[in-house]
Amino acid sequence: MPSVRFRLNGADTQIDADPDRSLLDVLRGQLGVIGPHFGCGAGECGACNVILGDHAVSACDTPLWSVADKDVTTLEGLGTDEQPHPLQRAFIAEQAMQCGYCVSGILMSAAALLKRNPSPTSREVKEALDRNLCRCGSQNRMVRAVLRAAEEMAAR
Amino acid sequence: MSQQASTSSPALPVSLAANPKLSAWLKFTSTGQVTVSPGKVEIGQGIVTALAQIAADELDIDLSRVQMIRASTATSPNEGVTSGSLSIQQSGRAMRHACAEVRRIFLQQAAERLGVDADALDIEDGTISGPGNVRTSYWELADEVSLDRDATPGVTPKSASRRALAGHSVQRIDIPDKVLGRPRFIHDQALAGMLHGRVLRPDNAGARLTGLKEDGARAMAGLVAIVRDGNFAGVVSETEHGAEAALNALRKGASWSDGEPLPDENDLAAFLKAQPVESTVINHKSTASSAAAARTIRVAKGTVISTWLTIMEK
Repeated sequence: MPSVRFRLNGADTQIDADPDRSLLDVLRGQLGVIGPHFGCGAGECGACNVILGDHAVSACDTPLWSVADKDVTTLEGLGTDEQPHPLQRAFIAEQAMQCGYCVSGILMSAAALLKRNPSPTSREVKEALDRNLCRCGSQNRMVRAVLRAAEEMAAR
Repeated sequence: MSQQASTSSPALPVSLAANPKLSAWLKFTSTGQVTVSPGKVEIGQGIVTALAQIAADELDIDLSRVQMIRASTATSPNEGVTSGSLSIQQSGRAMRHACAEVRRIFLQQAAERLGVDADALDIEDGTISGPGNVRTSYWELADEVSLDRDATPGVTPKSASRRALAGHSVQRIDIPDKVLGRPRFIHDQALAGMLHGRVLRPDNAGARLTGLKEDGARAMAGLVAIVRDGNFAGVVSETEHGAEAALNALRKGASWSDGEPLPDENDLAAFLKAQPVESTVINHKSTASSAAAARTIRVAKGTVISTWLTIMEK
């Protein structure tokens, strides 16, 4: 079985798996990383988004081979229970979800945005989250939460 | 699980009538917590928080003392299905009544122990106190009060105006887990010996499985079984990935009859309207009804019909 190496949430990771398998399959399966959620399986909904380098990508249609030697960040790498990421605190403060199934992917899209653009406008947040679906209708709260997190990060 | 027909004597809420034992709904721990067990499932609609608010309010305890137990078939009160926006109506009413009764039972026990009248006692965050600075608490009394008894009708919960938590916005108790990546969804649970399945489906409705070559699927790593029952076929594997791979192989070995085409997706409304329906009258108000009823039911004149459209699988 071929082996693929990459960095997962800052830790060197080596996995023996078919390199054509999806990153999501390997994360949730062999690696037991459950932050990214399986939604559509077709790169349409964003529930499985992870950060690859500086950008959010859907892990369900990212083949394992394509992340070789790259940095992959999942929700587990965003913050900890003791020190949550400002986005995680802001999503709690704004109560920015109903069912919450999509939130992991939305947090990753938002984190990638704030990495590239620390003080986005409301419009820029909406554009960055455009490819993340939330059928509960929590989008307005989510946009407010991302703006709140950006303000908090800027104030530090 | 039908409501008692009698209107002269007060009836228990339906879920409580079906599961009358108070200890099935809540238990006190000696460490200052209350475990609350609804028979409805949190599926993202926020009911665990709402039910916790109802319980904490009725018991006069802080919300942080309430531990919500996830509904389980084996141990929770049987409240049937979680659907139809009925969780607060059914589980909430049962919880409110059960907690109000438990509160009264503890007050009676406290009154005996402290030698004061139960009506003279107050409860604040679980601490029961009364005149002369006498005090005890749910947690102190927990060992001497058995909740293995049936709920009784006639308990009066707090009036809406006296509720400090229910009806007011609080932070949802399930949200921190969801933003911190802790397991909250059934998809995130891995059980010991868990197997994964996938079902083979035809492209057309009503297609019959006329042939199935299993060799390709059998060669897949982790395969446990290929299941076939008439037109139904599926695979069971040790891993989700293995199940996907086996299903793909099985699909290549499957032959189907033509079946029937799906409805025109550009005119689904017409298709839906052409299907058989089952209608239930849930309220009919005639102009001849009494003035009192007219005041109570402020529904516009006419008939409210709940229509269920059933599309049978062929």
